[in-house]
Amino acid sequence: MTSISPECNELKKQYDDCFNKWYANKFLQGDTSPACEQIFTLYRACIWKAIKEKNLDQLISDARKEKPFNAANDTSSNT
Amino acid sequence: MHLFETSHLFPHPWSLLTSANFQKYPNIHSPHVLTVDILSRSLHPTTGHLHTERLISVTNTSSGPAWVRALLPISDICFFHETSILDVRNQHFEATSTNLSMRTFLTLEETVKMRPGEGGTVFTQTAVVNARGVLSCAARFVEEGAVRSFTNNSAKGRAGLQTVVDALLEQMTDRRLA
Repeated sequence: MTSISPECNELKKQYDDCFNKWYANKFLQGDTSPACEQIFTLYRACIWKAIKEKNLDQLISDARKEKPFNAANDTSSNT
Repeated sequence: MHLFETSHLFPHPWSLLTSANFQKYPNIHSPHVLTVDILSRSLHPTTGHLHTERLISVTNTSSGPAWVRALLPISDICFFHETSILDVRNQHFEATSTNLSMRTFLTLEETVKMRPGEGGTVFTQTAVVNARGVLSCAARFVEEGAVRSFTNNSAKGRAGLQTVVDALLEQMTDRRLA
């Protein structure tokens, strides 16, 4: 799947491959040690540059404020 | 306000469905999805839940009658913001997405949940549509149109997820035979 910025496609592919392997082979088996951090840092830096250029950062910031991604919303273990 | 709900049982384990969900795009049933990016991803320090935040863009292929499109600055590409929480211990996944574009006119909020069920994984999808501002006078019309779109697209969405599940199963079979 392509990224919002074509320049980031290769980084995205590397990150997605890393994450999907980690998810299936480690995380689902109970191993939560972090992985893919270096590639994720590079990929994120790339897309956030494009997000700012397209003026999407304010919209994202507003969406985050409307629905904060925090412990208050993370109640799925209680259901 | 209009509400749409659907529930479907996938005859596959939760672990496979959630893996497929992260790899859902592109698929042949979802040509309208243009880009998907991960804005953030982390493990919650106390619960251990996997938190993911994504930015998704889709082409705007339908969106109501010509007069609506003529009056409003409807662009060809719409952006959505999705946040999800995955609890691997209790096998619960929940993702909520909302439109970033056109919020002064319409808010769409879609929630997808996946948990184990008898014979597989239960996939439920809920959508809430609210027409706002200048569209509120035509609210019912706009909202019903959006619900019709959701009805059509949710079946495509499930078909899309199934194609990814099938591809993953094939990969697993190939690896075993190799």
